[in-house]
Amino acid sequence: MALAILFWLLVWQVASLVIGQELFLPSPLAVLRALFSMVQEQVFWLSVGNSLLRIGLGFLLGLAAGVLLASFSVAFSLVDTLLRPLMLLVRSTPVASFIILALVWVNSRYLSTFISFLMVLPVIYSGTYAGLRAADKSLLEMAAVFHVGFWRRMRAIYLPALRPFLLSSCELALGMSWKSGVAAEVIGLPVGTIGERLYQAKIYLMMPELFAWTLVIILLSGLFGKLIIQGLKMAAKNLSGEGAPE
Amino acid sequence: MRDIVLNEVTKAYGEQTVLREFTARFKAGEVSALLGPSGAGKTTIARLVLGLERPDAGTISGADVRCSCVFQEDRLCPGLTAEANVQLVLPHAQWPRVAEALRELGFTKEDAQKQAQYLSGGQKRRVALVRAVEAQGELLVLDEAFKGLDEENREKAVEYVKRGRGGRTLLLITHDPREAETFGAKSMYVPPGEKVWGGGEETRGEVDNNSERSSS
Repeated sequence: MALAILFWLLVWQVASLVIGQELFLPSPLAVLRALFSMVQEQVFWLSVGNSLLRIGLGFLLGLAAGVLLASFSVAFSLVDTLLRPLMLLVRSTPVASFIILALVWVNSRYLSTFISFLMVLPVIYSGTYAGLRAADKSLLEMAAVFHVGFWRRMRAIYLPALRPFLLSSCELALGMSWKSGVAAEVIGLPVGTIGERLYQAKIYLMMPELFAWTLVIILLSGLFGKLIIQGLKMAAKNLSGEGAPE
Repeated sequence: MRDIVLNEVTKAYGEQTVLREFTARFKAGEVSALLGPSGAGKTTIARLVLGLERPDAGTISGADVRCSCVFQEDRLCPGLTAEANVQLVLPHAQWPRVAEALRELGFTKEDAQKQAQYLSGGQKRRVALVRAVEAQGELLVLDEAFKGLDEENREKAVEYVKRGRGGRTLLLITHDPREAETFGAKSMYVPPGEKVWGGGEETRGEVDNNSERSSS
């Protein structure tokens, strides 16, 4: 993996040397230099903090709502019938349409939260729905015969079934939340966010900065994702009671 | 505690009638055994008695009590330990008894703490037995509960069930007539797909209609 990254960095370096125009393709070294000078400014950390908070909040809200709504859908067929077309609609609508609509509906400060929430919700919903439906029917029958209570059933039967589905849908939703969240910031331009910096880098043709911000988004998305996945894995392990049902 | 009475119960899965007008009485507090070849409908009878299926015709009475069961399959939660699988069906106050029960059936402390997915077939069977015997209830159903156990463990398990049953009604489903004899069970042969009238002459006309689970 490390060797592959090194190879592509070399390709990038060679390509930028061949082109010879930083405005068109800055070299990796120029991007690193830009990043180094950016991190020394307070506004960098402010933008990172703002975007992280807003996009992260949107993800977490989408996660919570997706799990909750899918649980209700599995439990009550009427909720399932009502939510199915709604989730399909949210999933199929282009993110740009939502961004424009959201600019009308909500304050641009919360735009990335709203967009991130909308992108995450249907993905988590369908993952949770499939996971809960995948619960072992024979174990559920056993639980019914033995009168196993709701929470014990959740922890011993539903949660282990849900875990792989929820983790894979989270991984998918994490990437989507960052991509759509930053896109929303670029269009809505809330003050002091990564999206605003990215937009400014574009209009002032500061290509090394543009590349550096892109690198920052990739790193943030990766780190945030790792944190969430590890947190979920730990929570699932503790909750599923591997060792004790209570 | 009341007798469990099945009165002319018929059950079909799709086109296939598994049970046709089956009538039987399982006496309260006693051991009844259902014998017969595979596919005769013995497990269907157990599922009807446990309330997991509804009859297409006929009535079942006296079965609306708390039950415990060893299914044909082990039905253990793979991620839970042997001990936790039993604890899952018990109130907290009964948990200390679980380790002792598992030890009686040959489990070491380490084995009791192994996740069910890492237990051998015989160990899984014994965990399912402990779970059924330790659980509270008035009716205990054992569906081929001793299959896959070696002679020594089988004897231990039979003794454990005899001791642990208390005054519960026990419905034993087995291929093996010797197993029914060991428990001193009143046996009934279930031939495949035919009308069966078991449990003695007194069965007819004594169905308790106050708490019946019927096809309607």
